[in-house]
Formats: sequence, C-alpha cells, structure tokens
Amino acid sequence: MRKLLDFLYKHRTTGLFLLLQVICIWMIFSSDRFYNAAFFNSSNAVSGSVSLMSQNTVTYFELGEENQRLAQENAYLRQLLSKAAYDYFTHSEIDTVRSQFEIITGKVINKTYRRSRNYLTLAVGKRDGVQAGMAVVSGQGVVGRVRASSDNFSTITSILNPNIMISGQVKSSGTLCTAQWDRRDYRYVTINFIPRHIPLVKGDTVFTSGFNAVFPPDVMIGVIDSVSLTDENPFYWARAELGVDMATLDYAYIVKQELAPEIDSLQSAAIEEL
Amino acid sequence: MRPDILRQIFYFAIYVLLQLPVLYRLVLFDSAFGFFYVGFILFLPRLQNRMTSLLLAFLSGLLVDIFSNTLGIHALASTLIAYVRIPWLVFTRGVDDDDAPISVFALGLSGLLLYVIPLIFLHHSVIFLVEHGSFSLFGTTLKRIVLSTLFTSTLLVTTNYLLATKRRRL
Repeated sequence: MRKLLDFLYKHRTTGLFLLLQVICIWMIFSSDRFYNAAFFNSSNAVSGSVSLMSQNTVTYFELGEENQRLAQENAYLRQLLSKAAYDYFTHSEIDTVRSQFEIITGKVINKTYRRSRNYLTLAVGKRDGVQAGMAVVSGQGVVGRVRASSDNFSTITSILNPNIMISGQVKSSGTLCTAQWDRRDYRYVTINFIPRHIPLVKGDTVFTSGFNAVFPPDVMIGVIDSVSLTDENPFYWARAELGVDMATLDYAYIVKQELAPEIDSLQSAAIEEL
Repeated sequence: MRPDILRQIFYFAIYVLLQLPVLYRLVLFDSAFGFFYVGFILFLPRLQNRMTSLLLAFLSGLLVDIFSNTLGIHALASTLIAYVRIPWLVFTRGVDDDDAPISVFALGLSGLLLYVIPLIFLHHSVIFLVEHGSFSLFGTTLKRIVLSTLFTSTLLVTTNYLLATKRRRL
C-alpha cells in the first residue's frame, strides 16, 4: 500500500496529464450534451460580448461595403415583395402558408468558414425568441441551423459543417435531393441522391424543399456547378455553388416556424401508426 | 515570486486574451490559422511544480475552445504540449540547465526554433486532425497544419524578441 502511494505521488504529474487528456476526449465526444448548457460555446454571455465588441470595431471600417450589400438585398426583397403582393391578390389561399414564418434579424459577430466544422455566432438570443433547431437564412440563401442560444447570443451550425444535411429540390425537375458540405471548399456543397434518370445540367438551381419543419420552402441553396455520372452509380455526383457567400456574411435571418410543433407532432403520430 | 506572477498575468493577457477577439480573424492564404495563445504555454517559465503549467494550459485551451466552438480540442492539444515541452527542451539542448529562461536570448534563434516549431507542429496536428475527424482529405489537412505552424511560429518568435528584450533589462 505504501509503495503504491509512493508510486502515485512520484508520477502525479503524469497522472494529472492523463486525467486532463481523458477529460478533453470525453468533452470532444459528448460535446452535444455540453451544448445544451449553452455555456461551453460561443453563445455564452462573456464570449458573445467580446466578439460583439471586436466585430463592431471591424464593421466600422467596412461600412461602405456593408451598405452596398444591404442595398442589393433591399432591391431583391422589394422584388419579392411585389411578387408576394401579386400572389396575395391572385391566390389568397397561399397566405396561410406564408404567415407560418416569423423572421428574427441577427448580426454575425463571429464566424469561421475555412475550418472542417464551421460555426457562426449571432447577436440575438432567447430574449428575441431564438431557440435551438431553428433555420438560419440570408438574402442570398441558406446559412445554417441554430445549435444553442443564451439570452442575447446564439451559436449557429453553419451549412459548412458536415453535421448538417438540408433537404433540397431541383427547380427544373422538382426532384428531391440532399445538400451536404464535403469539407473541401467553402463556396461549394455536394448535392446527393438525384437519381440518374432525371435530367440534370450545370446551371440548375437547388432550393430548400420545405419537406421538414425546419427550413421554409424555396430558399436558395445554390446553383449546380458540376455534374458527373458514373456507370455503376444509381445517383448523380453533383456540386452546387452556394448562394450565400460566407466570407462576406454580416447579417442573417433566423426563421421561426409558428407551426413547427404541430407539424412535428402530426408526423411523429403518423410514424407511430406505421 | 510576486513580480513573476504579475508578469505571467501580463503574458496571459497578451497571448490568450488577444487571441480570442483579434487573432482568430487572421487567416493567411485560406489555410494558415494563427494559434497565437500557444506562446503562453511554450514560454511559461520552468516551474518547480509542473502540474501548475498543465492546469494553466488546460484552462487556456478550454477558453479558446469556448470561443471557437471546438469543445475539448484546444484543451487536449494544449495539455499535450505542456506535458512534453520541458523534456523536449532538455532533449534539444542536450543539457538540463534549470535556470535558463525560455527566450530567444538564452537559447539563440536556432535553439528557439528547434524548441518551438516541433511543439507547434504537434499542437496544430492534433487540432486539425481531431477537428476533421478522419484522415480523409489528408492533403488539405496537412497543408493547413504546415502553413499554420509556420504562421504561428513566426508570430511567436517575433513576439518573443519583443517581450524578451524587456525582460533582459529588468
């Protein structure tokens, strides 16, 4: 017993080292559990405030560019608005579908887009109605999904993160597909599961399908950039250039689906019946 | 002992707190990331109690993790280099002179590079491989590791020149 204690005392540094390594590995593998606590990620109050301060300093020097981008987006939204007004007068039944969504605007205060798993931090949180699981979009297209939120900040899993898969639809043929990042280039995502009998060409646009309770339908994902089809593969290999440019993204919109709980409970009831 | 602690707090402010809001924005050639905070761990004086430096490395790694949503990865890499750094320093110098400070003036430029670069390479390899989660696209990961190692090393050696000069005058 004495010898054992002596041994442990002599190697206490190594012991502490091994203990810390085990703690780190445990944290890496169970990070999902930690994210629910909303402290161990970039949306906690201290980290969020520091990032906000730093981002405010940087944006001060980029105001010109930002103005231009916002003006472009404004023009695009005005165009949509006129179309929506047209829809309202011609097919007013669509209106109930439209009003399912509420938009929360958030400033991007921290982001990565060149790593293997990318995240963003937005300066909006629970107080503004943000909850984990909500969709995040921008004027140019899909951005990601809320992973965790504190009172004033939220961490977003970027579309540039292989953990995220988005249900999409090719506009020309209406075919369903799945968009997922392949960890190569921040401007492109892979488009999977388009069967080989469907015609698919470069330049086709992919939008969100709206077939889940997260993303609203018809949000731009990207434009097909290259396509290939091998003899043995039942699906196309396709790559799409993302609509959103993560490098210049300053503002993003969090989409709150008013009917999400209802859709979810209906779907789970239907699955249980099967 | 007291001025020593104050100096370490000053270094912590420079290396770790500057990393969080400022230096994560610095990315060169799309692949080189500067993990500047490693300097705090590498240039910690040789303490009697090595457990303290392990704990400090763990905490600074964890702080960076929280900011960059990589829970556990930076802490893992940082404790690893905190554990091997002194044996590595003794190995590269061939002699165990306890009192020599870890600075460019005590080790010489080549001595400092020999101490710093392999440890940073180890640290960055752990970070990028664990973050990527597999050996697929190994070329991209390797490019990231090598370029980031060069970037961080340059930043740290320059900083060491600036900070260590001050120290000699004291």
